Amino acid sequence: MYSDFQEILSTVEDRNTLLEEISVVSQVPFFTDPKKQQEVLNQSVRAESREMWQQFLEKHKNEEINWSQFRQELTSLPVLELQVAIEPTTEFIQQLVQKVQTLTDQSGILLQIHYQPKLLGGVSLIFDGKIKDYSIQKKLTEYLQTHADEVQKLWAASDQK
Amino acid sequence: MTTDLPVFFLLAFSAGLSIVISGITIWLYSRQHHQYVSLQADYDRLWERVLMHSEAMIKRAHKQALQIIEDSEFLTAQMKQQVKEALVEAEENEEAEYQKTLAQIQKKITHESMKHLEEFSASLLAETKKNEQNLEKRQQAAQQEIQTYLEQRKQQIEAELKSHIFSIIQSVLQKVTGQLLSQEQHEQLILDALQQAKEEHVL
Repeated sequence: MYSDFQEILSTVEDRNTLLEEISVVSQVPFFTDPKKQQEVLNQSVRAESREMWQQFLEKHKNEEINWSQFRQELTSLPVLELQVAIEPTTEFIQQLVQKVQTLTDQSGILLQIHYQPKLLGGVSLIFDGKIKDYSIQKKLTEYLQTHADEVQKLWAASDQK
Repeated sequence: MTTDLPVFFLLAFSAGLSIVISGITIWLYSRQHHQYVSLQADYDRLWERVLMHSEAMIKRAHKQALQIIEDSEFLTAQMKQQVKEALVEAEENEEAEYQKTLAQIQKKITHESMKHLEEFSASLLAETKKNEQNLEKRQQAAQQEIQTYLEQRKQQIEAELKSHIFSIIQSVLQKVTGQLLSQEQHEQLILDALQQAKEEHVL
């Protein structure tokens, strides 16, 4: 069911918003009142998801929708947590989603992006229980630790100038 | 970096201890010196009394001898006169002998006194030196303790300094790097990192 909303499911925030929309839409008996249906969709769902909802409801008009199952599918989607040193644009988030789908051959991976400027650059990620830090801050710390004496000499030299 | 309070107290205690021990040593020395001076004065007074008493004894002996000769009945007048003349001569000789004997006695007493005084001075010096050595030992012990503490503290300070330097460098680089990289460069770094994660089977 969630595949009907794949286009608007990029991040965890998108999923949470969709879950809120499900909470509203699932209360209305659409099959009995199409006018009511349109009213609810206009008032309670995002503009970008409205058309998808209409298509979804049309697709399932002759059956009872299993909202629990829908919710379960959404909450079970895998999450890729990313900590980055910039605030990503919407376009870049889409680029990330496509990149992740290409790399993993999976659709439906949700991104959870945190803004951490202290990373300086690169990314620190958590996926499927694995944590990996590819940030500049980590590389810098490693460099300073392995070249501590050099750094201290440089520091002392600059201090004398 | 601020002065360590424990080091200051340790140094103050060491200085205070040195002053107290020096004071005690000086007091002991001055007391013994006073005793020495007093002893010397007693010796001089005693010697004068010995001289006076000895002279008085000899004069009395001669006077008694003369009296005995005068009183004796078995000596004729001529004999008494000869004895008196001989006594005077003997007195003169005795005086010289007496002086000689006195000089020898004085010499002996002086030698013994001096020896006693020398021993006394030597023991005084030894006592002073012993105190000085103790003081020196205590000073050395205190200095050693201070050095050990400073050595430990030095290592701790070096570690703190290193950590502080790293923090400063990181902070500076953070500002610089943030300004150096463009949005596109940041984005590319992230995409490259995802690629690396795939190669390392994280994704």
